[in-house]
Amino acid sequence: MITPKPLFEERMRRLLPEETDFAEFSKKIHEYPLNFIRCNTLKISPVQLKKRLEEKEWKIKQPFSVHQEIMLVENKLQPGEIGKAIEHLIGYYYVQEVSSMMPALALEPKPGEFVLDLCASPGSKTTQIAALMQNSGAIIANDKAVDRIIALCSNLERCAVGNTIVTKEDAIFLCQKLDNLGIRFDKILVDVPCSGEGNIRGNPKTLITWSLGAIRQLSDLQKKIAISAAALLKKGGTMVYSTCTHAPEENEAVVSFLMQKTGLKIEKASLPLKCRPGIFEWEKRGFAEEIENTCRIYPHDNDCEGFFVAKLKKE
Amino acid sequence: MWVRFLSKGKKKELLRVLKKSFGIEKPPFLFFETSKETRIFTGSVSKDDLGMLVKNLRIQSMGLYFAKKEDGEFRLSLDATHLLSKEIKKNILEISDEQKDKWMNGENLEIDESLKGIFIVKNKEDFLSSGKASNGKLFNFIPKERRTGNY
Repeated sequence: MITPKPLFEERMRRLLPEETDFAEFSKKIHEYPLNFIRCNTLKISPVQLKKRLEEKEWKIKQPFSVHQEIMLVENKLQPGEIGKAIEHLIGYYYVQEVSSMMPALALEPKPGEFVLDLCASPGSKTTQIAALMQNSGAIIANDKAVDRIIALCSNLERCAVGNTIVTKEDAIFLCQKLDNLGIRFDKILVDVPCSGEGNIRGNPKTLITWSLGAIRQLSDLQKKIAISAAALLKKGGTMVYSTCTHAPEENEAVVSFLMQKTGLKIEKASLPLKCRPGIFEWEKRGFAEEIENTCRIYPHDNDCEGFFVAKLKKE
Repeated sequence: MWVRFLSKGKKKELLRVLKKSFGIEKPPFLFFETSKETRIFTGSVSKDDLGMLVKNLRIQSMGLYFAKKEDGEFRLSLDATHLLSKEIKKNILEISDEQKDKWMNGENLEIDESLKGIFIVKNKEDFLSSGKASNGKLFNFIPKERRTGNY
């Protein structure tokens, strides 16, 4: 078990001031995450997939009645069994942690819309958005690293996503290009690179690499990416900003900055996981009152990974 | 990315072969070719708008791999057989569970010598790509990363 750095613990104590709350968080981050999958409705219905998986003696739970595509594999499987199952290889499901499904649900993409997924690899959210759009409209899915683009393209093919254009650009540069071309989007997902504090259960090494310096650097980058993306939103359009971290510098601070600079308004997202409101103040810096309508997802509240989701509207 | 939208003539030929070989009637996709394969775009963006994006952005990939042309026939991709599963009516080769395990492992299958040409492989309700039948063998084109043996 990797021991968290004292500064990480101190910051988390400030976010979770009640001792029992912090203790539950600290315990949960050392537990291996649950096995969630998402039914790829472009290829198979949740009813059919559940039946098939149960025939293999997998114990499947659908925790949310309005999101039947989200499935929890409850029984213990052999290492790699979820990935090597034929249903996975032929694209009937995507292995995706439940909290990582929340940004696309907050975005609510509709068939026929034009969507930008700015930091798209490895494609979990892009494939989810494509399924919600029933493979219609169009998605521009971008990433800048070649190896990540390879994974993205491979996942898009496996899930039979046919409405997506994959670009390889620096996110800020791509936004400038699209702006110059006069292209505007109905929906934009900005799932930025982050310090990954929410992913400790799946990737405990985050505790070793964690640093405040990295958080500050990432916060600057995230602000630049978010501002660039906001310029591409149509009037009445929706942008979702998300991270898999708890650091307020990467969450509320970025959203607050974005609201100030662009006039985007926060809208409360209706999500099936327990959300705690965004915080109003961090390190003597206050944020806008509306920030409470952002969503902090903690591992011990939902037995999931940690996430932050903010839904913004252009009026 | 090099992209060429199918000309009217080429599209007509593709649709003719799809109907003749597999009974597929006018799939509602935008067809285009890259240097390697025929691909489709399922979305609702015009050819002109897509062309503009291709010209101005560093595009790595677009749409979905649909088929490869071989000796005048089209070999549908695994994922194209899924998108068209309700439309495919002809030249379906049903395989057993045992054959399915070999097929998904990337192996060629022993089949009746009388079978010739491209067949769409099916096990129970699952379409499992296409294979080429020749000299008593069904040749396998399942991509390496989708084979069970690679895990």
